[in-house]
Amino acid sequence: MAEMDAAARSLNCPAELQGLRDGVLHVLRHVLRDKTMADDLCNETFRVVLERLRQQPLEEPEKLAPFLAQTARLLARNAQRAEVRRRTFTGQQQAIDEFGDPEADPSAVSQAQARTDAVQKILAELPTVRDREILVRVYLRDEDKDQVCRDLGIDDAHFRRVVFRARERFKALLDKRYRAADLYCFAVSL
Amino acid sequence: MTDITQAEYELIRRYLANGLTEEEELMVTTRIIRDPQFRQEVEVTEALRYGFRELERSGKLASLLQSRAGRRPRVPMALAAAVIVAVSGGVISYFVSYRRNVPPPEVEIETLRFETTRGDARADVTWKASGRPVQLELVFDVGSSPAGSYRVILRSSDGTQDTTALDQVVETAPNGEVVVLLDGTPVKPGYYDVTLEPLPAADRGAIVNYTLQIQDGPGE
Repeated sequence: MAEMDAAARSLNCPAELQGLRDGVLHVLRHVLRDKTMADDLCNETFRVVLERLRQQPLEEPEKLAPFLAQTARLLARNAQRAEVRRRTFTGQQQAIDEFGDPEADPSAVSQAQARTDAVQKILAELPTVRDREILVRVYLRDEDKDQVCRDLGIDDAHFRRVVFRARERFKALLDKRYRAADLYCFAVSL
Repeated sequence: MTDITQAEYELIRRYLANGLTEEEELMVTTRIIRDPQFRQEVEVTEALRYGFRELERSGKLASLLQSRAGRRPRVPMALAAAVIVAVSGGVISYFVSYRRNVPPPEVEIETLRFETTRGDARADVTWKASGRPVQLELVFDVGSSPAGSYRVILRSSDGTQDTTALDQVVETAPNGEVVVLLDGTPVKPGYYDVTLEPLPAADRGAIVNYTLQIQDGPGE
């Protein structure tokens, strides 16, 4: 243990390891959109990083997080490329992809419904149509913030206020129904 | 753990929309791994985006983006309380309450929003009386760090009125706005100064001022 560098030591601390693992898993799920594959690659990421640290400790322990991030992203991209190669091109891929039963996982359906209800409640609570429009244009349509402000004739402060309050309400609604730890599962089960 | 800045919120939004450069993406993913608070913000944003998509897919979004005109006015339960003052010509008699009466269904509510974005016009908000019974929901933007409550004063500013139309303490709504519901009999046309004094009394700079213009309804 004495010869281990600080980065490797944080991987041996259960609490720190769990935090790092949650983060890596999030990144992988965002890239892959596949829980099972993300879980596998998360383990693989830590295996690769630990092996590298055994061979050559990091000079700066604070580089561990970017090292994990870079490794996870590279593994995810390789996996995506492999997946593309693996697929048999039948011309019916979309139909095959849609064949899976979306109702197969009752908890996923329930979570999706809860999310929808929460967002609907937030939007309904907003006092003006314009405030609702701001959120829809930003979060659903991915429109540029400055453009939204120009179109609606609002200033940056108003924009920030609307978005901030909506986020706070949304968080509060989720907190009411779910434990904080569940938010993670909630967000990544997309 | 650190507070999330507005620029970081924007970065999160672009990350989820896959709109980051390589360099930015490495920075964001590093932060996700290193900072649980930042990660939670990403998760909240992601869930919010997903919720919007689900709303759109289920066909429920369009109705939420329609004007409230013609709909039963929504006075949120949390706000179902405010001030009631009456509006239509003659002597002003205002009745103010926060956290109570839902108006009878036949009474129309019109929302007037007072926001810090100021124009060149003398009045921040102009309202034309229609002659029909109406309640005015006055919604005040009091900045991003609102006080717990405000003393809301509405008084004539053009010398044609000799009464203070409203002087009432109103609790700040949970969403950070101050909402006053006016109901009653006639408010004469003219300009009104609206002053919101934070309570407990803070520095004078924290006082918020707006101007309301009421125009004649008939013949409009």
